[in-house]
Amino acid sequence: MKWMICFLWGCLLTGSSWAASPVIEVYADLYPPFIILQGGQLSGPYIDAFTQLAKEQGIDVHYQAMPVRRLMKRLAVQPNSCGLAVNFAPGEAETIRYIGRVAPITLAVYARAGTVGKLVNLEQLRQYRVGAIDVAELNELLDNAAIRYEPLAKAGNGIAMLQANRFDLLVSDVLPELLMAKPEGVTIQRVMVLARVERWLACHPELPPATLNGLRKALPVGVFADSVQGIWSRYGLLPVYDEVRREWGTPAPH
Amino acid sequence: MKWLRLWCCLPLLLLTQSAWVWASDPPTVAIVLKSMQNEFFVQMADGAKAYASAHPEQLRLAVEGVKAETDVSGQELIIRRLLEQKIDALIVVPTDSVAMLPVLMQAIAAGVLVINMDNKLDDRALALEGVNIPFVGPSNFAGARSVGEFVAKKLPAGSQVGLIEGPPGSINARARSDGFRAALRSAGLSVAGIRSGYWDVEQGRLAAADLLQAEPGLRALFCGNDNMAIGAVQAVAAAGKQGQVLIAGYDHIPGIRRYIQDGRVLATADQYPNRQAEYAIELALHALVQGTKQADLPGIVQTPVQLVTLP
Repeated sequence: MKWMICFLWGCLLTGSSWAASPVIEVYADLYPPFIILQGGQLSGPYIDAFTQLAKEQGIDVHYQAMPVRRLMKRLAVQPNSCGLAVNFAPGEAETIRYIGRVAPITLAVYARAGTVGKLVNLEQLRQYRVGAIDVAELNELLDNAAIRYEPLAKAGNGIAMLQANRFDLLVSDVLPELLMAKPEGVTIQRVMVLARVERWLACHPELPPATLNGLRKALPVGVFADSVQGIWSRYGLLPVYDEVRREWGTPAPH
Repeated sequence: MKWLRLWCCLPLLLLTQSAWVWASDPPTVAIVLKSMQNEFFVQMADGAKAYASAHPEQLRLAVEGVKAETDVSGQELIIRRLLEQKIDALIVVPTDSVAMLPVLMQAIAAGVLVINMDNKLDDRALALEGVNIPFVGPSNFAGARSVGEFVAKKLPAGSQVGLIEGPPGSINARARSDGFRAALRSAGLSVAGIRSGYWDVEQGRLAAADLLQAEPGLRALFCGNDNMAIGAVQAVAAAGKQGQVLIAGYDHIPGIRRYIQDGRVLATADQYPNRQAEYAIELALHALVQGTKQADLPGIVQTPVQLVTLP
């Protein structure tokens, strides 16, 4: 009996340290080589780095793979949920919260090798059949320049569609040079860089303030903090890590 | 009028409204709006004043606005002056979603509770500053999509249309354009051109005239607010294309009603500016009485938006 009373007092006195860490549900769409499926589980440097950075703030993460369109709808209605590495969209920002930047991305124009020379301005796209990933920032760029394009619901299919001659140019944020270490089929080349934007961590609007603040503290340099350099190295993507740190004005530690 | 309901979640605080009693003088809540030449913001100011008149024991209200929709420096001056007058809460409809942030940071640093209404501040800038400023307002995306879907049904797939949007620095301008785009894409219509009409009748007329000249095959003009839609009506009439080019607006200001009635504007969206003001004041008073810190305020308080068309 004495032992039981001591145990209960102990629980009361150390209650704060016994409190479970907050847990958030994080949805992410595949974005190779940064977000991949391994053994049915989400993996890759974005996932591993974010897990570690959240943990450093006392936040546990459960992951679920989900197509981006479904993911964005889910975030608005599912409490305690976040989407990792989503694109910014002004319309979505009125119903979900963009918490912190995860990584920069390059919106670039690609063509089958030898079919299109280097392009120097957006106007030049007008004479080609264009396919473009469905990202609000890109839609705005193309619409403002009155460029007609076929929006691609699945960004990952873009390169295959370009190789299959479904269109002449692909505007995308995927990186063929990383995806096609061993090029198969028609070689793809970058013919123009359009813009540099960012992917974000976005969450349900009523995320508890403590969790929100913890996530903000976790992402001052996205998933490229000093403490996760080893993760990028393990995936053989240290050059990407170094480039982002340079770009964001916080050169990587060596 | 045919109403398509797009009610969003009503904030709980309205359902639990109570009469707050202050030990000393009631707090001063300042509302800083955009163009007071725009009927939309006149309605918003009227809603705030009506609330304050009905609850004189709960707050002292100051309502101010600028003349031009994009007068960033004018809004900054007003806010700085209000800060010298020791206000307790500041509710702001920013003229620009990024450029207004520094002065709002100054307000927060001075201990003033800051709430964002109607035109959302850019989350990307808020995240980089690490600051929480709650947003009270509707989903402009959902409202514009409902308008877009209604008008798109009147056109055959493959039709070319134009967008006339607000200034590029406004998140709600871009959200409305994105809502229009979503509807157009679903209907198989394509955007042949975009111009900014800066929320203004005359600028909207000029933007519409330019688009009609550049793209003679346009079948519709989707305008980000009613003032620009009225300008588009004038441009379409001047081009002798009345009835050939459909026009959509947004806001349901009093001045658009006759255009809806006679069919020159097919649809608009009502987002109840007076109620937005009430929701924002309620949020401010609730936070002040509870002593809620800026960082702990709710992120988003959604307000309703409805499609408005002829029956």
